[in-house]
Amino acid sequence: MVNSHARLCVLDTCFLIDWVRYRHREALWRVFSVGILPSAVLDEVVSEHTISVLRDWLASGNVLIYPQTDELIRRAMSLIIDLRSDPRIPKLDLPEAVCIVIAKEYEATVLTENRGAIRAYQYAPERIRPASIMNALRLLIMMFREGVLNNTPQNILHEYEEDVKHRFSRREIDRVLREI
Amino acid sequence: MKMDELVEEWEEEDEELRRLRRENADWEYIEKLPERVKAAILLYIDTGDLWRSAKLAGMKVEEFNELRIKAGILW
Repeated sequence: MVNSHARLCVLDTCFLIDWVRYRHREALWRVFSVGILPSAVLDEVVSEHTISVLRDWLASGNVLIYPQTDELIRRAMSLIIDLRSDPRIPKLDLPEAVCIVIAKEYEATVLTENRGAIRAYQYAPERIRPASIMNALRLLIMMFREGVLNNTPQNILHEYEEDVKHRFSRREIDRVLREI
Repeated sequence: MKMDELVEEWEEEDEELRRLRRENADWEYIEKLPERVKAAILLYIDTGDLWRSAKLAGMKVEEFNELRIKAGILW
């Protein structure tokens, strides 16, 4: 049973495989106490480096694996179908829907780079809550604002982009700096 | 921000990212890839969707992500 006061996150594949390359990846555990890793996400990981980081996080208890069940898939499919009833809401795929279903259960934050999921949350947050959704850009800016990362936002984002070989949209950076 | 404005901004953002992926991709490398993998890279350039592209390529997501980096697609 997860402590109801714990700050939880659910790790999606596209976020995880970037984040483990980041020099300050351990800062994640200064924001969240537990990361939930759906077993389907674990199945998408292949590199020695990512496996090694996950081994440490599993050993320390920072990460716990959430098993994939028929019930979880059924609920994720229901969420996808429910959101598609409104054509204005960006489309979700099964992996992100699985993460959101788990996050709704535990009032957790889904960490994902999937634009559909992030935008669905921005467009129709009432359909996603009590879960919330963030990408690395939003998380890094939040870490800056909360004093978890001590650098300028520009340097924080530059370091992240250098480490993970994934660049943010300049438009999105401007928007997120206004939002958070 | 109003929803209409937000949706308009998303469309502009998608277009900007699509252009950056297309312009910065290593096309010589991409042309040498097997057809199925090449189709997946083209899907990624078009959509930026890692999971769908990996599945089209018949790869694990992390495996496809390595390919994305080798193909010079950083956005």
